[in-house]
Amino acid sequence: MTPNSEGTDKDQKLLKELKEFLLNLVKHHHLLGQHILIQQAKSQFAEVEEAQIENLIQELAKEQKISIVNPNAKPKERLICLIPQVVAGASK
Amino acid sequence: MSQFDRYYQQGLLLLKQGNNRGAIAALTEAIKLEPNYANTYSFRGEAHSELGNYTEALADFSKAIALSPQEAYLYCLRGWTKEELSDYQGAILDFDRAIALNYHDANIHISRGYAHRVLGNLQNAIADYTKAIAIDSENWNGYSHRGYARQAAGDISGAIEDFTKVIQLNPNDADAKKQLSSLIKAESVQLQGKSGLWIGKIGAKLKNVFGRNNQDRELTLIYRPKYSEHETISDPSFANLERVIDELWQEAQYIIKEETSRFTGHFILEDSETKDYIQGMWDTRFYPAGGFHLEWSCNSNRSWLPLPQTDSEAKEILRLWLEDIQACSALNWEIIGDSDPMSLEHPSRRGFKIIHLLKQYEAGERNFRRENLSNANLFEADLQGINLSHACLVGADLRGANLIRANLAEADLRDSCLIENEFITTVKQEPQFKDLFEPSAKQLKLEAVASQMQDIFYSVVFFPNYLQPTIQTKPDLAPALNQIWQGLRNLIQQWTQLLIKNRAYSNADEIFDRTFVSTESKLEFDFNLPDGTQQSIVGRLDCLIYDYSKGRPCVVELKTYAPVDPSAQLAQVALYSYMIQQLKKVPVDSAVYCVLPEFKEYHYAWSELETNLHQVIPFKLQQMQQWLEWQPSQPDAPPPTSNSALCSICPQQKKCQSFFTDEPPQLPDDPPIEPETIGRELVETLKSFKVNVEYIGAIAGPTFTRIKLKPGKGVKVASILKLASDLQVQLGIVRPPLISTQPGYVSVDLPREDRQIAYFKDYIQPQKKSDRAAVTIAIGVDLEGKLVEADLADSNNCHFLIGGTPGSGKSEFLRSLLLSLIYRHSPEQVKIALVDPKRVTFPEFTQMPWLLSPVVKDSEAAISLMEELVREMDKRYKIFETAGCPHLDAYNQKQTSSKHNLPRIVCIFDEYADFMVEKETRNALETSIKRLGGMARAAGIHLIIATQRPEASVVTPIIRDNLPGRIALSTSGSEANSKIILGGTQTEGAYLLGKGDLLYQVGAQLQRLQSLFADLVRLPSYQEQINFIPDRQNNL
Repeated sequence: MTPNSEGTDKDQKLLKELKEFLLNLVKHHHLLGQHILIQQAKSQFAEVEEAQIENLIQELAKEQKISIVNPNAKPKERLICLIPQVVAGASK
Repeated sequence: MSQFDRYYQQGLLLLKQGNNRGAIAALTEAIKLEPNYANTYSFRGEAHSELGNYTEALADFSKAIALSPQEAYLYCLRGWTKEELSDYQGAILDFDRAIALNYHDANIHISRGYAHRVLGNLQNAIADYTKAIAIDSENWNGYSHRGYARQAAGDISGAIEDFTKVIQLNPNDADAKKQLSSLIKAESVQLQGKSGLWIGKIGAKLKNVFGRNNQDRELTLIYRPKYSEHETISDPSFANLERVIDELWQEAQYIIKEETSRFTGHFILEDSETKDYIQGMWDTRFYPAGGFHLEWSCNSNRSWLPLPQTDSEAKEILRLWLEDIQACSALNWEIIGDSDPMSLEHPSRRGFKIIHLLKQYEAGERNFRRENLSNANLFEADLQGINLSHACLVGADLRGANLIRANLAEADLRDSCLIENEFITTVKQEPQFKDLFEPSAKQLKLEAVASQMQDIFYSVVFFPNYLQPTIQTKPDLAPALNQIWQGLRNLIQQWTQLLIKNRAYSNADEIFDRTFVSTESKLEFDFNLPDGTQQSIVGRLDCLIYDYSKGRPCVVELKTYAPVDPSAQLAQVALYSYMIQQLKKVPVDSAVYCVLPEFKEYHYAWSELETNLHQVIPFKLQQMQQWLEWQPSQPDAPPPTSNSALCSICPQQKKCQSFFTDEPPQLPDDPPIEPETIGRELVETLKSFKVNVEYIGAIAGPTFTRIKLKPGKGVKVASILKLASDLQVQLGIVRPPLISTQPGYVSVDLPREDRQIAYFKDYIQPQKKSDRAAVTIAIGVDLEGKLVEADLADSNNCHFLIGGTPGSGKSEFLRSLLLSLIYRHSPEQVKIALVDPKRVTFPEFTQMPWLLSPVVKDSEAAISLMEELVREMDKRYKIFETAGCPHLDAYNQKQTSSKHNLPRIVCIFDEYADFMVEKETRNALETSIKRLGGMARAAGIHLIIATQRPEASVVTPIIRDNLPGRIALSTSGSEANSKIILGGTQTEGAYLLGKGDLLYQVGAQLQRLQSLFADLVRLPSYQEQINFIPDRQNNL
């Protein structure tokens, strides 16, 4: 294993943890502001860039785990909500 | 030191040392040297009182009061002395005056309460003690007195509450303890007679159990009440057993009253030789709905006790228990055995297990379920199907209740509460919620359960029904939904906390139904108002919950914002709790949950509201009822809210501020018609009736235009007088004109279309008149716009009879009359006594310093007041005689200091007719009025007696003969009533226009005036009078 690949694995692990953290936070609050979510994530994962956090949020949204309620609003006003799994399944 | 000082100081010293006779001698010497010093008399009175010479004490205190009439304590001293002489009525009058002078002394209220109590006026007594407690909540004496009064009134639970408080505040009060103990016993008997029977049953059972196996043993019974010292009784005969249990019961009652509706009793029966024992406990709860829940268990360390060893023994015990269960069921008692089952490991405990299960399944469970149902259905059943509007009070136009008006503003803001109530509906239907509460209360963790509740509600309701549609159609509304969700999370947390508490009292199946008794319920209640009428009030409460730890239901109002004015929400929930209490006769707490921006609970226990807010509701509603009847063309508009900050959130703001204008509607487009034009038209009209008159002038007064006509030669005045009705038709005026003869002409008064209001503030401003200035009252404004006043020292105006039917403006007249006195004379110059049986004429004046005594509202107090005035008159005459003065003014002028002046006393007696129904009352009042009417003027005491029924049966010849001043307001067409007020053949009162249009009899002449109208009553403080600034008139 090269040092680079070791670093990539580490990053991957970190991002996986962060993604989990983001989802858990949304699960706990059900509905919350995107900027609050990002702030909380940054406070726990200081080494991660904000853009990466936003990417992870987008990923979770694509996976139908969360939803951006008002995607056309200004970033500070955007809200993130949890998609209950029963409901998500039913809607498919 | 002067000779007087020496005697005086000596007297005080001897009094302090208990040498009362010596004190009297010394103080008597002091009085000889200085007969006008009040304190000398009061101290000598105290010395007499100590010796039991109450008659002498009374004379001394009276003398002291005459010299220093503003000292509250002197009235107290005299009041107490009167009590010693069994003159309780007299004592009450003295305490009345002491309270008027010093309202905030709790002990005076207690003293008056005692006199009321002795006279059997228990409600008055209780009211006085309650006031004392409100003034000083740490005054145990107030609670103690109220406890005795409540006990006498049959309110045992109230009395228990009071004596409990006494013991809290004064733990060494043996009397209170004794009283409490006997009351609790009395109440336990009151509790449907159940306790005694139950105690007897337990006693018999234990006796039976022990009697069978331990006839020759000495047993020791130890009972261990939770809240008191252990007690050990050695008694082989068991004679004390029932007593011990009885005491346990009593203590339990005490605990119930003290803090919860639950108690636990423990006992141990111990064999003094072997130390074997049986120990037992019972755990009892009382429900406000009347249910009774009892858990019972016992165990022992040895098998010698009657634990069933064989089937036959077990059956025997079973039979005994079943008997109990049946007896309890017959009495509707609730028995359940859901306490922790006893250990089954020891074979000797088998029998108890059987008993336990039987209780649970055969009777306990059934009764328990019935109790649940009774609680859950208690309110819901009656709250269903009542047709009400959404507004929380009578209507959205209701202005008024300044505090309640704010609620109307809130009504529109409450829609988000719909979701909150949807939560309650959902938890009752979704089985997932029930599953969360399967574990016992102890196992449930608030954070975890609340989080799961939020999760389920989000998944089942909030996301699919609210959030998802919003995302798809109106994403702009997302921030508002976010707010609502944050509020819901807070609320769910709060509900979860309550549910976990209630889980200790309920199983998981029923916990939601039992906790959330009702949501979005409509309420309606017909209030009986103090004036005997009824007012229907409708409303809608957000939620009614049941909190088992508090043992009572609670009205919950949900708010999604922090209150601007907490008193508004308090008024709302207090009204709801009052309505439910009136419907169901059980105490109901109130709470407001403000769920945003952060959760805050405002909780108001029933006991906090019942002694203050609830008591004023009927009076407030009566006032509001009058406001509702108000129309824009009328004077005296409902007052605006005192908290104008609330207006900005009120949806009725615009309408409210334009509809309830204090100014009457003006007709700016129609220029006023010139009086001369009217006069000419009148002349022409009369001419058409072949009555020739000459127009000689006209004056426009505020209410009517007076046309002066000179009859032509040969024209009789009578021919004009008889045309009143024809002129009404021809001139198109609302009432027939008032036609009178005047020196040199005939006056025809025609009502003005653009009637003007004579505002009080335009004629009288606060000012301090000198002590020697005449005391005058404002009567009204004449045709020239000048204020006409009456000097009370004038023998023609010293007492007044005022009559006017409803709508005549009598109340407004009396109020402006009263204001004209207090705006210009200090409380030292004038004292006012008010009699207001309908309680609506003088509501703003009840606390003013000018009051001689509290406003009188019933006939008994009215008689007392008049008798007191007669006594005061007699006393003044004696003082004048001693001073060599013929009347009050002469006496006051003779005083070196105004401090020694005697004030004029003006007694304003509204709705006199209300007291004329009972013959005894009528006779008593007439006797006093006769004496006062004949003699009181010189003593500076004046009567102003008003009635809206100026009929012969009310205004009797005695009244008429003794009240020289007469003022007639409209008698609504009754010439007979006009004659009664004005005397002779004066029928003009029948043709007055109402609303302050009045006739004032000056000698043989009648003056037609317009009464002043005080649109906003603001009492001037004494300081304001002294520092009177002319500019402030605009503030009135």
